[in-house]
Amino acid sequence: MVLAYADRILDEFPLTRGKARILSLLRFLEELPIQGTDTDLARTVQGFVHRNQRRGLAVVVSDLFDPRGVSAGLDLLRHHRYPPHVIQLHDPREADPDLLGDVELYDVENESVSQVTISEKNLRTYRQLFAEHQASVAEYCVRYNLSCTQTNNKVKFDDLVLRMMRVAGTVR
Amino acid sequence: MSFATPAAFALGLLAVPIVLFYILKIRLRRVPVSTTIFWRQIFDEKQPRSLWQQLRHWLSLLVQLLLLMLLVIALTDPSFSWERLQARRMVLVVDNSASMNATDVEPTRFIQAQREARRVIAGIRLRDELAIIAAASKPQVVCGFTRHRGTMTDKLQSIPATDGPTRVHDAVDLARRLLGDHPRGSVVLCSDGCFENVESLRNLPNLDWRVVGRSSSNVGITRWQVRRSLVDPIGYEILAEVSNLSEEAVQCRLEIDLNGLPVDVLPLELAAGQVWRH
Repeated sequence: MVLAYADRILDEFPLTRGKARILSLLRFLEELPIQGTDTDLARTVQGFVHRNQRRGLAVVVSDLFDPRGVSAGLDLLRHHRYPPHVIQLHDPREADPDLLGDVELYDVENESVSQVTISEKNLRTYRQLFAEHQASVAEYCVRYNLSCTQTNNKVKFDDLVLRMMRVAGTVR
Repeated sequence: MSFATPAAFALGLLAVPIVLFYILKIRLRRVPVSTTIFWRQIFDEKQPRSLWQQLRHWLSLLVQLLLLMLLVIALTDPSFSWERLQARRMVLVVDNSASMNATDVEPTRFIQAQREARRVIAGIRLRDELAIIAAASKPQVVCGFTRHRGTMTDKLQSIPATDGPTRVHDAVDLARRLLGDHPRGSVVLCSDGCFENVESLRNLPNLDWRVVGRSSSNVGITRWQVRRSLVDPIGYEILAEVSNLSEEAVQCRLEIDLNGLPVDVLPLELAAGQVWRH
């Protein structure tokens, strides 16, 4: 089963099995539009865990830029016996934005606009906050013995999967 | 208040493009970002300064307009009535005669006089006018009345040291004629005072005498004339006068050369103040 979410579950690919369904799954993913507002993992998981279904591994693929924090959502998954595997993606420009001076920041998720003056000091603070956010996710996963993969979107999918398999000890 | 160039007020219209560019500038560059949660953490901490941040843009415009206003006012060359009423007119008389080459002060009296003159130039006020006269063998106006310090300094530097006689009295008379009946006119004289009838200058009103050099023992040729001899068709007659201007008796020699060859050497013993003629 694949769930697309933002502030809530927005779309769903039903529970399926077999290689024959892979094309349908890829088509579902390709046709998935950008939608929703702010990321809200806790609300999404709330709508998911109360379904009458079998327990299993939950793979969370997200940038995890959740204004309410990601721990609540991941806690819910754990408590309802859906041990999460976190794949956290980000764009290199998010980690190191090339912004200086007077700019109008347009949040593409919630369409909010902030007029700010970005200085070198602000940029340094931003990079520090971003690194802390990444570190907090990794630390959460280590604390609860969860699998966690953090990467940027420039890494090829094949390389990423290979890296994950090596971490899991499936391949050497 | 009056303005020398009121037409410069037209430059105030530059405020229009400044305001236009300001309005264009505050249309900020829009940058799409995937999240603003980190930016909010940064800028929400500075919430108490948000008022300042809003004002800062207005302040930058006001500062630009203020600078333009100051520039325009400067170009209009405003003057207050009290400035014009209190303006002085000065004539700087610089003695560049032969006696100013004396080295009793370092490096020479003339250089000292130029330094003193530069101090006078540095002390003039905004509306003051100053002219410079060189008082050598022929008094010469080297700089007419001007308010521009750079011009005064340049012209002062252009005055050469000469070996000519002193014409300070003539130079001071010329300076007084230049001043006319100006109510705040004055003459500044930079000289060593080695000329006749010094006391008459000391009593002149509005004369500021900056004395350079100090009195020293001096023996000099005060008269010299050469003419054909009346008795020898190929000979010459020389009239020479040597004065001991010091307060002590001196022994010296008068050596007369012609094209580097000695013609005559006369040993002299002169009492204090004695004049020897031959």
